[in-house]
Amino acid sequence: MVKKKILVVDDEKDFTGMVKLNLEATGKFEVRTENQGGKALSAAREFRPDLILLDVMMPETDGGTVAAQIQNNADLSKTPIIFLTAIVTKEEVEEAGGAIAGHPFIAKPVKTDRLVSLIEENLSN
Amino acid sequence: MKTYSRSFKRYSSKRYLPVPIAICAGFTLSLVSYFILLDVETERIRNSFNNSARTRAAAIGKVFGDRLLILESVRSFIYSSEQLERDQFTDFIRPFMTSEIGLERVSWHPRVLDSERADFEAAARRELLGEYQIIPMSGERGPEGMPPHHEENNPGMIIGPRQKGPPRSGSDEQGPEARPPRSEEHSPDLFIEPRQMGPPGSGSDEQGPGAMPTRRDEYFPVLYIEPQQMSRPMFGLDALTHPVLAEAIERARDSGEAIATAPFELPDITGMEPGFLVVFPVYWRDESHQSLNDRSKNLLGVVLGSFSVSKVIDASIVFVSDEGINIYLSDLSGPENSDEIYSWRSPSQNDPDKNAVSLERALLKELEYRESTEMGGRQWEIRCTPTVGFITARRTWYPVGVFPVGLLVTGLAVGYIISILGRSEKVERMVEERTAQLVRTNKELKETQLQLIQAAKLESIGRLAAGVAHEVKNPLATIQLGVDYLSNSVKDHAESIEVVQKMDVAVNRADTVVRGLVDFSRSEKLDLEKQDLNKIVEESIRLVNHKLMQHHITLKKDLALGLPPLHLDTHKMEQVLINLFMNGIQAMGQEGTLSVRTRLKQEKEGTPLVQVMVEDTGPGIPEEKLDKIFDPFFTTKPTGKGTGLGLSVTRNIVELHDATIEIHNRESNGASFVLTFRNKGEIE
Repeated sequence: MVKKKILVVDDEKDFTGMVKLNLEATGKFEVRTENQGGKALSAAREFRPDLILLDVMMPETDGGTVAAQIQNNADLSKTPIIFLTAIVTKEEVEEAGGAIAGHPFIAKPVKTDRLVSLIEENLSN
Repeated sequence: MKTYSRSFKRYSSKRYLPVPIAICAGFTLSLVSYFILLDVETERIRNSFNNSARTRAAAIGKVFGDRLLILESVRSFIYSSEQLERDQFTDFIRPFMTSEIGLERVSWHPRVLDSERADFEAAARRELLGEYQIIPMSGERGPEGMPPHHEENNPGMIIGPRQKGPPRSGSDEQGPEARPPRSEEHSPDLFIEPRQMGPPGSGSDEQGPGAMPTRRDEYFPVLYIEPQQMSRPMFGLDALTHPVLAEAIERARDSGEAIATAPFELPDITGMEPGFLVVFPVYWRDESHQSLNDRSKNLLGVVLGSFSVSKVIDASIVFVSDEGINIYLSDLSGPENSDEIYSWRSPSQNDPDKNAVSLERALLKELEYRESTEMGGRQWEIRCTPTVGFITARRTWYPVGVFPVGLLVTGLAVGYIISILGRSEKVERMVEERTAQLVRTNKELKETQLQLIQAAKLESIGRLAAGVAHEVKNPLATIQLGVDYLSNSVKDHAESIEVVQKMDVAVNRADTVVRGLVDFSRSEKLDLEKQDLNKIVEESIRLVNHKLMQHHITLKKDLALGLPPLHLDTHKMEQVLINLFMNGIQAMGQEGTLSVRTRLKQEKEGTPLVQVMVEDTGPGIPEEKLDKIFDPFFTTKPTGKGTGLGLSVTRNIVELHDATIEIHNRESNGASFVLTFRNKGEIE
């Protein structure tokens, strides 16, 4: 069984490490983490993920910008993105740039089961 | 509102108390004024009458007095004359007779002793160039009680040529009322009638007319008389032969004073007229008349004056204008209960039955003036009564006018008071309304201020919450994933599993708190749409249904039909209702009843209100905590069981809908929340 490649972009190093640990523990995913928004695009180009978990609020380059870069990249434009956000309301997500319009999002904190099922759901789409 | 109306009504009834008081006072004052003025007017009329009557009595007294003075002067004239001649007598007396009305006839009766009689008669015949004989008077009445005064038969009885005095006002119609003849025993009428001439000494009184008088010791025959033209037949009539005159002569002789006879009726051209005679004694000039004996012995003769009462009164009227006063004359020296000898009725309106009002009738009965006066040794009484004309002429409109005027003034005063009170009431009502408005506005301002404070508070909390949410959720997310990892790693270690589970619960709790904070900070935005409140209630109930079952709580639902649609944010309103339901469920714990009701409340004024009531049967809320129940972070639940933000968020959402939320403890047990949608714009 080929493991799906998941790129996790979040400025919280501990969080990305914990996501990696839990997802890889399932045996279904190969996870790479990136803690700087500005490096997310190059990491994606290099890693070629099947799905990107992207934090919304990051210093310097936020999730919306990263998503736009990926969308604009021909090789990556079809890669599904799931936003991870500490902000819970829909309105607030929209206020954050509206870049996540069209992309599913999941609020922090999230349980592993819920995260896995959401990833699988998006990968199958 | 009811209380306000009732108190206002009570206030109004007291306010208008001066109106009936003013009416009563005005009416009473008018009535009192009427009676006072009536009394004053009555007194004025009474005084006026008394003055007028007194003047009349004085005038009558003066006229009588003047006439007596004439007789007195005649007496003095005779007394001082050496040898009295007829012409002297006539010349002296005639001017008075033509001017002094009322004194009808004056005669001189010398005292003639029986021994001198023949000489006297002879001398008289010589002087008169005709018949003269002393003859007796008759005290008898004429046929049928009427005096035989016909001029043809007895010209001498007519009292001289009539000198018409001032016309007797009204007397043509009413005339002096000759009193009915007196009874013989009380006051014998003195009717002087000459006997028919017969041969001297040929008869006596008993011999009838023409008989010679009985011989007496002395005689008082008429020698001179004025006016004499019509009185010739009276020459020789002996005054002493009439008992009334004889008594008067005797009294005059003995007293030396003028003596009046009792009233009798004098023959007049129109009939019999009331009158009387006054006897003046004349003594010998050179002889003493100090003692009774002297006076009896030295009497020279008597002067007789004949008075007509009616003419005296007529003459007195000349002095005073007729004001409408009736005059009555009585002889007080006569027998008791004797009738008035003369009454003079004023020609003015004299009939009390015509146009006389009660006051005038009362005055007519009341007003009477009596004055007694002495004249000729007799007491006379002059009585005056007013006529209706006298009273009506002195009445004014004041007493009658003061009552309607008083009522009119009262009416105006009452009107003024009402207008003042009305204005004052209006002003006070306005003040009350404005005060109420101010109180309302003040309350609203305070509420607004509180809301602003609350909003500021909330804004700070919201800003804090947003920051906290971001900063807390990231580590929470890390922990959550760590817990997940650990739970897989310690599957075989029971104690570790328990620890990890507790950590999982703690993360959940922390997440709930942060989520509540974010909800709280983001609750001010509404997505309003016209909604059926009952539907939102039903949906909210559905969402907590599993919790109701889990806690074995009975639901009592009573939703009113026909509620008007409201502008609501469905999601937020569901959040509100779920919060309230959950609050009740958590308060009751296990078992209990949750009542949910909606209703349309129609108030007297304004638009109808839509209310939702959520009641539980829990322990209720301690009274001292009721005020704080909606404050953020305030909770009655044990630590860890509530964030203290649920009811705060609920109230925010409710107030954003311009609605209100109230909480109170039920009388039995449990708490009751009432949501009231009163904003006009919300209800269509």
